[in-house]
Amino acid sequence: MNQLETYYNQYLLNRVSATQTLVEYIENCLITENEVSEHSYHKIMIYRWTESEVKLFEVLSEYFVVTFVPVQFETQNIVSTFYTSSLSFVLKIIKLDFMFPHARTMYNMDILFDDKTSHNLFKQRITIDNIVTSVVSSRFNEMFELNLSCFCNDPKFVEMKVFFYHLTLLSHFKILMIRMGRDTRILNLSNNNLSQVPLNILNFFIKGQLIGINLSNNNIPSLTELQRISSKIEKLWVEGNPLCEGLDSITYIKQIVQKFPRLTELDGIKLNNHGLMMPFYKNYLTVPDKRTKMLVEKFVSLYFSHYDSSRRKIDLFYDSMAQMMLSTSFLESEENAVYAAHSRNMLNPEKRQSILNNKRWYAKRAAILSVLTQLPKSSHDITSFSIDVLQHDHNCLILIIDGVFKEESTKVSPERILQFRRTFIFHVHSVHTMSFYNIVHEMFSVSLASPEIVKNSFKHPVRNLNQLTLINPEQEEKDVICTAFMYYTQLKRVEAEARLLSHDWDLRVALKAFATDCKNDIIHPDKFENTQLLVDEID
Amino acid sequence: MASEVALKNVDNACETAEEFTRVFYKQVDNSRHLTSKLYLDTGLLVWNGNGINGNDKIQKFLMDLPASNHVLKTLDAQPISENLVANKLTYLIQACGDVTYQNDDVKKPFQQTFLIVAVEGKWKIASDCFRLQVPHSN
Repeated sequence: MNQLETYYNQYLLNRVSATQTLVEYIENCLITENEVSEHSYHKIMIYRWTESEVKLFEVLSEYFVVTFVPVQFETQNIVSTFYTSSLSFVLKIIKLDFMFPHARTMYNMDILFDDKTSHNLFKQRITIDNIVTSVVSSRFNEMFELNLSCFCNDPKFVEMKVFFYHLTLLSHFKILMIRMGRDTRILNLSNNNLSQVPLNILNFFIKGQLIGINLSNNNIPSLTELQRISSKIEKLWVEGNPLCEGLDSITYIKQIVQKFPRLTELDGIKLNNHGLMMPFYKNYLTVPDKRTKMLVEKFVSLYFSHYDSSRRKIDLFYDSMAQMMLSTSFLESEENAVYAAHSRNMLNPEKRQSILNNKRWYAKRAAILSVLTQLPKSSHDITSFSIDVLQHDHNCLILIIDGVFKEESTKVSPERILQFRRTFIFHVHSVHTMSFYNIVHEMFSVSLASPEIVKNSFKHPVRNLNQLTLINPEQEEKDVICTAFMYYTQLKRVEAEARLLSHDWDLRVALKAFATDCKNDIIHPDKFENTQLLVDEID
Repeated sequence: MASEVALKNVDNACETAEEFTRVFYKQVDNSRHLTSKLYLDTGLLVWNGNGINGNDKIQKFLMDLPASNHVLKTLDAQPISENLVANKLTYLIQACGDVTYQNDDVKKPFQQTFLIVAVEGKWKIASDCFRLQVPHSN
């Protein structure tokens, strides 16, 4: 270091001490791009700043027309301080007389020139540029996604006490951003408190490969802001912004899709699957309350698990005067004989005739059951179901289920996968606080599942649901369950049966209740077979 | 006696269904702007899980969909018992077929269920549930 530099080391600069010589020295450093100056940090001190630190940096940056990333910001009493290596910033402070205006107040500043080195601040000889580059590079993955979510609070920044106060500062790290802009396909800018779409950042990405932008959870006030985004975008996330409030989902989607004709995914939901703009939902509930949901879930799981295993039990869901019709477009053939014998189709000239002759309109529970039990054994893929509830009130429940099931091979037909729609209309009958639901109308349509559907169903193993619950069990079944229950609980048969009955023969629930009763010690020893029972064993 | 009347009702349902769906699909495919007239003012359309309530909204929604061509393969109908529908004559119609959109050649299978009611001598859709039979992407 030359004499001049040693002289000015750790020198407090203010209006008085900032001489012309010093100014010339600094200007010289800037021109020659002295490498040493990159690692030399100056402490900027501001007096009596009462607003937020981000506001301070914004004001300074604007007034002095300079970009800087503050390090180790602190406020003690009336002095706010931070470090910067920016010599141009220092120069401007000197030239503008060590003060700046804001809200009709003049604030005073001092500088402690070359107070610390990068080694002092970061424990390594690195520059801000190095730090920012390493943070950004670490957020770029092999799938060409650049994740700048929650950028300002990156752990590395926090650790190094680098106050990267606004995402848009990144636009000044040009070499880094040009490199990122070239390769990035998906840019994640979520959780950055953005109140505007940051054009100065996006500009780096527009000429590259960018196909997706995530702006979720920011502060973007309206859809017009989105104009700044290239219309080449295929994937967009904007949920969690004020622009979403007050818009119903249809309008929201429509307006966004109009701006981005190539959009295939919005907020993670695939849109343009089949050339259509609207999203597809698996379920629609006209009354989205918990009770309806639970009811529907229970019905669907019980009905189909019985339909697949012991089909004759589904008679309990039907009203005695229920009506059902089956329709298919299957052509008459040996393998479809069962369907052909029982289905109707107005559009099939042959079928139409038979409709007028013998109807095939099953108008009693027994008739319905006899038809359904003649159809081949099935296995439903519940994950493929779409369920729409069109109406649910004290009188009636209308449920439409679309889905897929596998039909086991029979003597005349091979195993195949079928697409169905079943519309169920239930009559609701209330007694005191309980409501009973019985199917009074059913329309059952079946067709061969398309190859696309076949490929996408039965991907997960189909579990037989509710195996431990029986609906209206036969005596044999009752005996089996009872024996199992008695084995676990060591209760007398009478007591075991009583408990099982009160829990609808649901073994699991009955066992749970029994365990609770045991813990609370409310079971009389007389009820047990073996009076030398150790309660601990039950658990 | 009652069952004969009931049977007659089913016939009527089927004939009505034939006529109604003929008109409906013709309008949806060729004169889409007239379609909302077929719905009750308070009608409900559930389109692939999107619920749209009310005539005006249904009209707007339908106009946004691309041009379509529906070909029905199955059709069936039954009358709904009066105690469920406050004594208004109501038919449940279920139709299945294929639809192609906007000159795209790919036929997509669809299923549609209507509940139509008689209002001043005209049949109007109280609710309509339409779904394309396409796999849900995960």
